Amino acid sequence: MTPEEQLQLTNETLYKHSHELAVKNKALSFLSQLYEISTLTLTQKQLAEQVAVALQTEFDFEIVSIYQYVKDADELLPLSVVTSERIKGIASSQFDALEFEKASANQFMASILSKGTMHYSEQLTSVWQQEEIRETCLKIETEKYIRSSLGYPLIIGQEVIGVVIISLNRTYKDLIDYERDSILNFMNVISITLNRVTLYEELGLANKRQENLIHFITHEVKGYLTKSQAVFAAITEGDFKGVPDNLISLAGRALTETKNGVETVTDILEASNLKKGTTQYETTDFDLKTLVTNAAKTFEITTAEKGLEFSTVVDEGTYTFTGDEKKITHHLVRNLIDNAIRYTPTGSIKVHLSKTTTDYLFTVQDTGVGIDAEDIGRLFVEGGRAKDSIKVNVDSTGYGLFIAKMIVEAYKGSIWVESKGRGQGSTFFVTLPFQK
Amino acid sequence: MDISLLQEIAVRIIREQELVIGPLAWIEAAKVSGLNIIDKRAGTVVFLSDIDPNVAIDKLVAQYEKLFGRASHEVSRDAVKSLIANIPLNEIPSSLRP
Repeated sequence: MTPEEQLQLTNETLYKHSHELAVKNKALSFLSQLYEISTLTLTQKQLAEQVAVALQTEFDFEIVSIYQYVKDADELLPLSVVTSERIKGIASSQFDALEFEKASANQFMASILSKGTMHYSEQLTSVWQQEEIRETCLKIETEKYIRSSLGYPLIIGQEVIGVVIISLNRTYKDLIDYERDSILNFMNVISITLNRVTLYEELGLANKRQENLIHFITHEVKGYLTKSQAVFAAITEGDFKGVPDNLISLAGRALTETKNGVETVTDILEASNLKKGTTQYETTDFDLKTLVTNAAKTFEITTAEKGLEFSTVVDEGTYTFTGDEKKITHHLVRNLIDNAIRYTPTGSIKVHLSKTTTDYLFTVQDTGVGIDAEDIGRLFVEGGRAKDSIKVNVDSTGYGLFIAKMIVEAYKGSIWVESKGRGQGSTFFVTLPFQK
Repeated sequence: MDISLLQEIAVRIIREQELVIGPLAWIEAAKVSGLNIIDKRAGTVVFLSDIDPNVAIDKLVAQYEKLFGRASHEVSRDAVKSLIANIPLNEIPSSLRP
């Protein structure tokens, strides 16, 4: 062999290796494209659309259609139908909304659905047997724009969840190995991806239903509790004559319990609304200094009765804020002071309002039971409370701090707690950024 | 055959070869007489008017085959299978006929 011939042979061998790598690269690149699509937050239809477009453009197919199989109704419902430009020229969007009712009656589909394997046909009319598309299919066949159709099942476990139909201008034997292998492999990826999205959608729907149910139940319960509260209040306040003293005392206790119940249910409802994003925020200008001072004043009797040292300090300056005054008063300021009182058996509570260079800073410091590091993570979540908090505060709903956090975050602020641990007291911090 | 389809065929062959041999695919294509590369990135080529575009495509296929053998011929043919599927056999460049 001459040196030139040796060089040629080396060239050809290298080319073959490079070609093998190129084919693998192409397959990987398409797979990564599908993976990217699968990571997007899409509905089942949007996902199918993107997958179908990717398949059609990568392999120059004439029609790529993805159907969802509804087993109980034996129907194939279109998720996405993508056609090449020239098929669009003939069929416009005729293929788009075509359903397969009684899918098993269609021999082409029946084979895919019952055997769970690929099915092949060189007659377009054997795939699309619907009367409304028949003429178009015959025209496409006559023009030889489509020579064959491949039907692939989308399988999860043992169950067919859908069908992909690929129509192309070549026969199956004209497909090159890369195309055949890729199509087959990609069907598994498409099945898993579509199934994942379906599960997410179902889960989302179930969550929404559950939320609505909770909302409905709590709303109903609140109604009953409010009625009971009114009755107990009427008895306690002497609206009825001749009620024995022991019954008045009993009604007084029941009124307190009912008020707590109403508060708990209101908190759950409020948290549910905040989560759903249906909470309405009022927008008014108010003075945070006045708000904190007035709110703190309402606790002076309670703290004095409990023997707690209670102080409120507001640093100098203006504290104008625009927002929902009622929510900030009740769920933020009053809630944090009330918590401090409940969890501080002896000692002091200091309320402080100041300003940093960028934010209003509201703190409530107590010498109470304190919080260990493990419990801090449980505080600001829905229904969350410290491990033993119920022993100290039997009325804890577990929603107060969650609601406070949601409200603070609505104003782009922060809320957090610092404590050196059990028995060391704690300080709650809230920042609300200055508004321009 | 429509000239734009022939241009698409030439670009498809070069791009497929580029996947295997890299930028060399464009360098070798530029050596083919009758074929003028206008823009590599956009994939624009034109055929010179004094030569039959089918012959220019045959020369392009042969250019790669001369260097890389029979395998490169198959790659060129596979690359355009979907494009030529509806073209009558006698209109397809002879090197690409099934």
